[in-house]
Amino acid sequence: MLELNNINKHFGGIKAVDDVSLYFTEGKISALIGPNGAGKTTVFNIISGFIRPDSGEILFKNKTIAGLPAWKIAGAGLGRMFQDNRVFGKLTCLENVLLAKKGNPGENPLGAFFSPGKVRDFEAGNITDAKKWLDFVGLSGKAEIQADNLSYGQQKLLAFARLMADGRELLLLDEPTAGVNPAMIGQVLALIKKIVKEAGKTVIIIEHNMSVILEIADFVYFMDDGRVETFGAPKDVLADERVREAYTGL
Amino acid sequence: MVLQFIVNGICAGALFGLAALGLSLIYNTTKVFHFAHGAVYTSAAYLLFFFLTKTSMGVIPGAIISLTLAMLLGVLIDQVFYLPLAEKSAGGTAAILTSLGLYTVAINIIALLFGNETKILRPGIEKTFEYGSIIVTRIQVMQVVAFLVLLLLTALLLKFSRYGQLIRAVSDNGKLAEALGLETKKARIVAFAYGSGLAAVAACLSALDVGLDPYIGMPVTLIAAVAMIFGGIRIFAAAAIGGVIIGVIQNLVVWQTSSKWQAAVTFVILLVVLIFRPQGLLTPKKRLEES
Amino acid sequence: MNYILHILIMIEIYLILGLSLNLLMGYGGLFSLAQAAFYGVGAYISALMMINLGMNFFFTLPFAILGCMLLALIVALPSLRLKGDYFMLATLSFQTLVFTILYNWIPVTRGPYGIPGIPSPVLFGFKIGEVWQFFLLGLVFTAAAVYIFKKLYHSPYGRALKAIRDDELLAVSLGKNTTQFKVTAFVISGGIAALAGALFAAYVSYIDPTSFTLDESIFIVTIIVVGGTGNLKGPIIGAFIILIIPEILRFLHIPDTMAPNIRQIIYGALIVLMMRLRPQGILGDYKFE
Repeated sequence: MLELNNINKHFGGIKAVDDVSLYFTEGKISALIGPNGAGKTTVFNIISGFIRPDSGEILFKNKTIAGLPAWKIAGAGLGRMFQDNRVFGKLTCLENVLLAKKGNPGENPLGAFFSPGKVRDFEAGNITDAKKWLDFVGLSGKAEIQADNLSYGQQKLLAFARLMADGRELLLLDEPTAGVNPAMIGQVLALIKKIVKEAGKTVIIIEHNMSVILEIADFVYFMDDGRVETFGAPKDVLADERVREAYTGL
Repeated sequence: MVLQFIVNGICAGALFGLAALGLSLIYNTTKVFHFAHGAVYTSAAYLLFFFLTKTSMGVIPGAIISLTLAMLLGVLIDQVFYLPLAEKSAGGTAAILTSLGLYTVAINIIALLFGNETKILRPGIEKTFEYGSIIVTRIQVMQVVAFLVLLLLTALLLKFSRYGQLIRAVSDNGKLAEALGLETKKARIVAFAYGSGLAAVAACLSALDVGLDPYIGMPVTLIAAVAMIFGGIRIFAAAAIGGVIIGVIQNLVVWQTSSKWQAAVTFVILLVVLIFRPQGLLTPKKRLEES
Repeated sequence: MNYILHILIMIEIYLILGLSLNLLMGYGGLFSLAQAAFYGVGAYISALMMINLGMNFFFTLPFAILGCMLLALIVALPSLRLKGDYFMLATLSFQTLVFTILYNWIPVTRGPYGIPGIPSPVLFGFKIGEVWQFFLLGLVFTAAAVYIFKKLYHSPYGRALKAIRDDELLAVSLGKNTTQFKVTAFVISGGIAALAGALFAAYVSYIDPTSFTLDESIFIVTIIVVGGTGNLKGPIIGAFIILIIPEILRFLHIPDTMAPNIRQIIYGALIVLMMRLRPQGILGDYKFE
């Protein structure tokens, strides 16, 4: 589904991503782990198109996406959840999810004017779908609440609903359980598994919580200092000397 | 012939450079786009006017007092208006709007008090010096001297004095400076005081040279902004040099066409810089990455 | 009676300007100091076409609107790559450049001499010359503007603009071409401002560049800062309040020499107060960051 070949990126004198090659299989949950500063979020930013790699190629569904503007990459079916879990705080939950749907004729100002019927129909379908996704993630009944007024964990669920709302096949989740209170982590993990099983998505997560990795990841890449040091099944990677060394003290 | 225009440009640009240096210090330290810099500039000129015409004070003491009061005004504006916004972390746009509002209030108060017409401070012909075919007035020479002296002083203070280093640290990375426990609040006060002082010097010299009216502040602030960006926002001296260059370019445009296109030149320069080299002429190109 | 109608006509004009700037600043989050430039160019295009080409007022409107949209496109494309303060300075530069051209391009615009004798609009042989007739014409224009912006503000387009305003990165990650959204907001905003300009030119029958300065742009900003941004009612109440203030001064018998300065002091103080006490404006939804 997603392939990174020999990606390099440096900032000033620092090599943030050093000859990284990654391969992500469809329908699986893969994890990127590594100490802070290893380059994991940078890799995500490069995939999403927010940062341009110095060299290397990125293939998404066998099509090159490196160098495309970020909005186009998102439009091609790639969803992103951010480390600081962004939501549109001043908009309602429903509006947050409504925004995710591509191809809304009402988002074109001419369309808003000259095709009111088309827009109305689209929005009707949009609202039905959005409510469906809010239910799917467990936020039923919160549609009209302003996103700012949700708890942090609920905002994470909202972010998931948003990711679901438009047939995005590949989801990049940056620390999905960070900041979520332990009672809710189970809910979040169950949701991720549900997303993969029932909706057929491919998920890549960045995580620091090793128990999360063991519980849901099918495949793990370990990064350090911008390089991929080792990879494999979670049990094997976590047993690796280098990984243990990097995480002692965590 | 063109040399005269260049010399005129340097002398005018010296004042732009001073105002720009002041604005740059303020902007880099606080990240506020201080349109009210023009209000401080105009106030300094009118304070000088007041002391020279309504009291029996001489030029030097009048200028010194005007300078001091202008510096106080600058600090006051920051402490009363910008600082509360910064603390509520209401950022750029609110501060710029406040700045514009303050500018409008200030110059209209000045207009009410002193009238809208242009005032001349020193009637009569100014003493001139001649070098070959170039003529400069005494004030023009003072402008360049003041510029060079203050530029050097500023550079030395920035490099060696405690407050200079504080300002450089805060300018470079305000959040880090705060986290490290540096006195960022003091940095603001020093930046506004010193920056306003520079503007006041420029204002007084300009007033002595060509006179004053309540509306001189905005064009100077805008030129200072252009100079700042043109030279490179992060480098203080670049703003000063940018000011001089703009002064020269403006006068060369006058030489070639006529003075009516003067103002347009400044903004064409700004647009060209913003579009093609937003980091300014003297800053090396840095890659801007979103994160 | 004519006095009241005159004030209402000015309110109509500035309401249209406020609504147009609101799309850009309140919904798009883009601080522009160039609105007076579009107002002015619209006025000049309409006036010049009426005088030089003998065109009917209503036929000049599409040209004025399209002309300003083109100008807005030219301004927007390079400027929107710039962030925050730099974008604002770019709009300020364009504003000043447009004014300088209006003032100095004497062969075309007659510069400081202005354009006198702008004829009254004629609709199907019926001349719109009386004040009450202009009021009704303005009402039609204002109703059209309110209708257009109401549709836009409440559409998915308006929703997307708000999202981009609040978190552009997030909007990009949802597949929105944010630059395109901002450009269209700029273009629409500039085009509708032209409508106000044409109405103004026909009403006052004499225009010169001094009506379209940076101060004027700041004035339009004041309207939405005071009234409120980010929704429909903010600019409406803003236009009323800001345009009534000078009339209140008149009732207080402030001498004519002092009135303009005092008016400016009030406007400036209002901006400062609003930013301090109520950044979303009186009836607005969006607080300036």
